[in-house]
Amino acid sequence: MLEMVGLTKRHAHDGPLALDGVSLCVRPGRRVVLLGANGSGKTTLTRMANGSMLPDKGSLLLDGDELSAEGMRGLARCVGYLRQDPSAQFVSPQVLDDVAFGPRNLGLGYGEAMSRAEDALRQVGLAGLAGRNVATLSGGQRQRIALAGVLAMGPRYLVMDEPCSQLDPASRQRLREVVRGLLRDGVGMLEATHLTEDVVTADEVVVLSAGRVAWRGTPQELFASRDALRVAQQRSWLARSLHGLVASGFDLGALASSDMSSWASVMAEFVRRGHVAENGTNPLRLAVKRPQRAPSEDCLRLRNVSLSYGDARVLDGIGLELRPGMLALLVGGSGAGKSSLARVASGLLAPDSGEATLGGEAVRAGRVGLSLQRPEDQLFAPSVLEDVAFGPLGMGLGSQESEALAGKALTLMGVGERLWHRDPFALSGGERRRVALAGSLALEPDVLVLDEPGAGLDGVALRDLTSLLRSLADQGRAILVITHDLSDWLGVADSLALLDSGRLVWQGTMEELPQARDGLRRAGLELPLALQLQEALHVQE
Amino acid sequence: MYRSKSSPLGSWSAEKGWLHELDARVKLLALASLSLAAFLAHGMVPLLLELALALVLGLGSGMRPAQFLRALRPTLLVLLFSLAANGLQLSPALGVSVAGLWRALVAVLRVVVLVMLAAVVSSSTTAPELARAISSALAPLARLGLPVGDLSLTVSLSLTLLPVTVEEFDRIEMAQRARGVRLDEGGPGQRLRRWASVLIPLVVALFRRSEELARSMRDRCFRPGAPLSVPGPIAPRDVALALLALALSLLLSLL
Repeated sequence: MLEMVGLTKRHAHDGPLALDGVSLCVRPGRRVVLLGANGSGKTTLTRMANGSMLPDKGSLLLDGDELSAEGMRGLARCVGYLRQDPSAQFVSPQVLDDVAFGPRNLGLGYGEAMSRAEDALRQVGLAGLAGRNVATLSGGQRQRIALAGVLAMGPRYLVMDEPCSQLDPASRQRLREVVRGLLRDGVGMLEATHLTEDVVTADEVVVLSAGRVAWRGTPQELFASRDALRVAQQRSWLARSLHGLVASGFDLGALASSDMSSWASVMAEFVRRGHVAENGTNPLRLAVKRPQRAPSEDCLRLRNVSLSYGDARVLDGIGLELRPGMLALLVGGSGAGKSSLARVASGLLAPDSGEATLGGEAVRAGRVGLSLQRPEDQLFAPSVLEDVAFGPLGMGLGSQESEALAGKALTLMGVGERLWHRDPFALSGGERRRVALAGSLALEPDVLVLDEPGAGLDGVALRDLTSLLRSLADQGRAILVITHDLSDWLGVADSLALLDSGRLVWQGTMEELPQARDGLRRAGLELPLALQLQEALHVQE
Repeated sequence: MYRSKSSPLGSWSAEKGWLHELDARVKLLALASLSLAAFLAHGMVPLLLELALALVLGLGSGMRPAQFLRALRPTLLVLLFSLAANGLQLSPALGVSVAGLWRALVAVLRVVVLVMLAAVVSSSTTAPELARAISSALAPLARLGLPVGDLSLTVSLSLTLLPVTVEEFDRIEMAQRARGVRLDEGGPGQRLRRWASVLIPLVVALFRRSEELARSMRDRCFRPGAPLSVPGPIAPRDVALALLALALSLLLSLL
């Protein structure tokens, strides 16, 4: 048993407490899920759990024995750690060599380290990738390789900091399968996450808020309490629906014990038996956006666009239209070509054949706003205002005009004036993302393309982002969101395009989405649970 | 997944030839001695023989002709320039100097042979194998207190982080271009400021990444100064091939 008692930590001398008297227990074969807003202390706590950060006060006990500072530093031998970013964990370009890094550090001979590495690769289902170069693997494969690297050391406990957040749905499922197997083998787990699906299957839920344990209990208890869900930042449709079902007597164990693909039918069965209390608002009701009539001038149009990188055909005959006032989704499995399409649409990459036009003219860089994954990585100027004004300045506008445009964009993104003269690196993650998005809006583009804009955001920040983008669309812009988390955008998107191996295999409105089920499945995606449930219940909106 | 347009030199190809199985230390030794022979050789004949050897070994172990050309690409400009510079005669009259051209051709061929041999070795040897071979060569220096194990790990880390850095650069460059930063226009002062918008985030990102990587390595129980893991003894067949390579180099340098 790995026990943490009264952990307290302050990062900076005069800063706030990152952790304040947190106690938690991880038992073999049991999974504890850690929830809370970004900045609530989840990452700090996970790093204490594997001894990579020492607390100012409090103690850690392993199997009842209190650990000294030396002992805590040695925890890594039996507590493995998996990070959010799959790419930040590799020491060698070759897969097998990287997985063998851990065992070699434990003092094992070369041959034995290699055989442990091979076993670990088999455990995560990637034995065939042993000789591959890490740079050629997808994000989901990298994360499983990183897990193999941890498993090769034979840990008794596994600590994971949002391991699924950067993965597409199919990769998440595969990772979850490996994790389930590890639990059966008796590994104890601590997982920090935002995803509601991962909370349902937990054995215990601990919610952190401003460094303190704000709530603790079973998933059943969590979904029964609206207050607990609020503190836990669980705002998704699934969280709200489960709250409604649990309040009517639903047993979450039915979901936890069945495969995710049958969750919709399990929930529908419960509803059909008439157990759901009708009190005016059906908790399962989901408003799917109706598309509006939109004017057709000033559209972003891609006509028969094809693109190749060397011999690889990345985009093949793409035809897409983005109208003002519409928020469209672009979805597809990893490697489908979504990022390449985003670049062609924003004028950064010229297609090999076909054309990308805006209002009849070829798209030029700067006319279409583009926000890539983790846009806060592009911040560089000494102050927020300077950074956002950089684009307009570069386009030849005067400094007063550029600053005015920057101010407008920042206000649009909800960044208050008191932050305008601060160093971007001193802001919180959420604020920095807003500043970066303001940078894309400074030139007042009519079209905005965003690649995974919600990645890494907690429940509240995500809701704010989706409604903000909706309002930007309602003001007359055309917005394209590339995502693999369909369910987050169901209530705000007008239409969806599905990309599979460089081809657009389906396009339509959100209401028509159930027709795309087979296409989605082939691309490694599933119909959002909300729509599966509506289908199962034959609920019409 | 971002596919960057630039790809680093010397990428390992996954084809399985007999050259892939050969001990990396033998390959490095052969590379060193054949390179030395290329420098000591007089005239075209030994160089052409070495070139033929490199091509035969490379193609025989699964390399494609395109890979050879790609390996030469960075040096092409300099080679052509040196050919032109040596071949052009300014006095007594403007014209072509045959002797100069011949001299330049030999020099160019030397470089081509070196690059080709290096390409053959790097396409048939993985980075970890190279790192371990270099470590075992440096192992005696450990007695002098040199942190050979850590050096070898640093080489391996650089090779791992190179494609990641290129990817990061491409990403930031695109992000800045997308919001209107005109990186290829403007006077030198303006351009410097504009490229700062790419380089500053890149350096910050690299620092952040290396910090995260260091934490990850500590989480995997890495301790600096750990003992070196050297590969086992060289197989007799490979020893024979090493001696063959040395003999060949001697022969070529005397021809």
